[in-house]
Amino acid sequence: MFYSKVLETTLIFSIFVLSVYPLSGLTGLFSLGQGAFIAIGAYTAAIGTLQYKLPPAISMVLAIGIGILGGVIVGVPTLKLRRDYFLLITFGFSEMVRALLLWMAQLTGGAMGIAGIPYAAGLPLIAVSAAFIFFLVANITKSGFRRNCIAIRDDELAAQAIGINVYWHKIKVFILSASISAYGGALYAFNMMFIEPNLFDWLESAKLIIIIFVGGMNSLLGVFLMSVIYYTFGEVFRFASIWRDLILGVLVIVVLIFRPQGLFGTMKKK
Amino acid sequence: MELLKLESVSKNFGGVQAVHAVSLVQHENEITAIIGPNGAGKTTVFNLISGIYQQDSGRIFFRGMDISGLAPHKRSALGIARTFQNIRLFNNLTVLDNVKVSYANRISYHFFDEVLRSGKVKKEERELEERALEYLKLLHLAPYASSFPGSLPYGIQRRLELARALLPEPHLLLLDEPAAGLNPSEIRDLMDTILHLQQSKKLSIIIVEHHMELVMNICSRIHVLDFGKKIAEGTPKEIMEDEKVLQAYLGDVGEVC
Repeated sequence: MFYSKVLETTLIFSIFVLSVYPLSGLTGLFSLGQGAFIAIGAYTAAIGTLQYKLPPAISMVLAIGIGILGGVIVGVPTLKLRRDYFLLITFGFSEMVRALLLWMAQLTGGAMGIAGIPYAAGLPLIAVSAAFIFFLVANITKSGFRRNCIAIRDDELAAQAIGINVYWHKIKVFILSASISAYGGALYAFNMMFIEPNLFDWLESAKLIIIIFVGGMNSLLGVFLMSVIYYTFGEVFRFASIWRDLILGVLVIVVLIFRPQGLFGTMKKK
Repeated sequence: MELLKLESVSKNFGGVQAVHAVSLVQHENEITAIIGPNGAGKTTVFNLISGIYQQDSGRIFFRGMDISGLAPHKRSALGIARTFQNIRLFNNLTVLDNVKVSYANRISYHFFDEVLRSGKVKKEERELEERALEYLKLLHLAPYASSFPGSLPYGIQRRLELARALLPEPHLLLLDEPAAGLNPSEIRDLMDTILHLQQSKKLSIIIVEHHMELVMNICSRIHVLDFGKKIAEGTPKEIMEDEKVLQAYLGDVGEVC
């Protein structure tokens, strides 16, 4: 029972990491607002089921839809900006969503959060979802989509000059990430049965990016492994919660110095 | 036939007039050069043609169409390709992928095909791989296909940039100092390659270059820029004898002698 709970949590957080991978790992865009998309998905699912009496499956689809809508609203005006401004604006967006969730208490329960969400996402659904999302993300790392992402990350100007529509490609990546995050958020709500506004703050978003860095930006499998290790460790050693972050911090420094391509990364082949 | 036409194009950076009322015409299947002292605005002209900069005034036509306001990736789709003076390759992509990536405009499968990896994606990627390998062979890059460009010698990186520019089969190729940093034998190979490309691919090529031997040998016409203005245009022979050109390069020759 305990280990199946650990596995569920690990897989849900790994879905979050997978959702950020195309954006931060491949394209090199750092969003501190990914937690906000997770929150949007979780709250949409919870509110849809509890207040509008929608079946969980419909609520999940709705969560993805609202996630995509959020992605369009945030992405269209900001993805033309320089990367540092993009990071700041997504940070602002994340704080804004948190403030809104606190403020719209009638709908969202404010700081009390929402309890009593039906349990609709057990291990089978979560495992299948994680596998399917891994499959989708792995697919896009096999063709033109990945090439365009990495070209944009390495040299935006050259990418434009050889014919990549940089802005449009970034929008596609951002919306893909937002929709997967939102779906993961919905799974979270239906699994934990309780959500509150502070669960998905910008620190959580930053952690997702750090896991990608430590795992290796150019290796999807490496990122997934890293995420499984980190979150399993975190759940099993919950009593050591602060030490977990300390270890991650030390690991980041060691990796950046000795393996800048990431623990499992393959930047240079022979 | 006219391929590219610049009509009195100007570009300022703050108070500096980088390019001032430059007009030029490039025909199909010809090789021309833009030469001039350092800071004459040669690279800026390339940036204006490829759309990286927007001109402040004037107009640019490509195959009779006004492309003045078009974004770089759209100009690339129309058939304008370029290389960069300070090589700009994608260091996290293999040599093969560096070539493939320039096909972005021509790929017909969509995002959803890619996400589900439909047969269409596989088929098109296979064709693209063959085509990219062809270009690697053409430029003698085949042995490096799976290396990363950062680890390769300079001359090879230059050839890779050329292969990347050629893959989408452009009509017009802009080469920004292709001979910079190459040794004499590499420069001879480069001249052969450029002439071969002009003939076999029916390419029209504009070269910005300081290496005069290369320019004089393979270009049919030369445009000379100085302080952002076009001061001369003509065949290599005419340019070599042009008073203004000599002055721009050597200072006021008359007084010294």
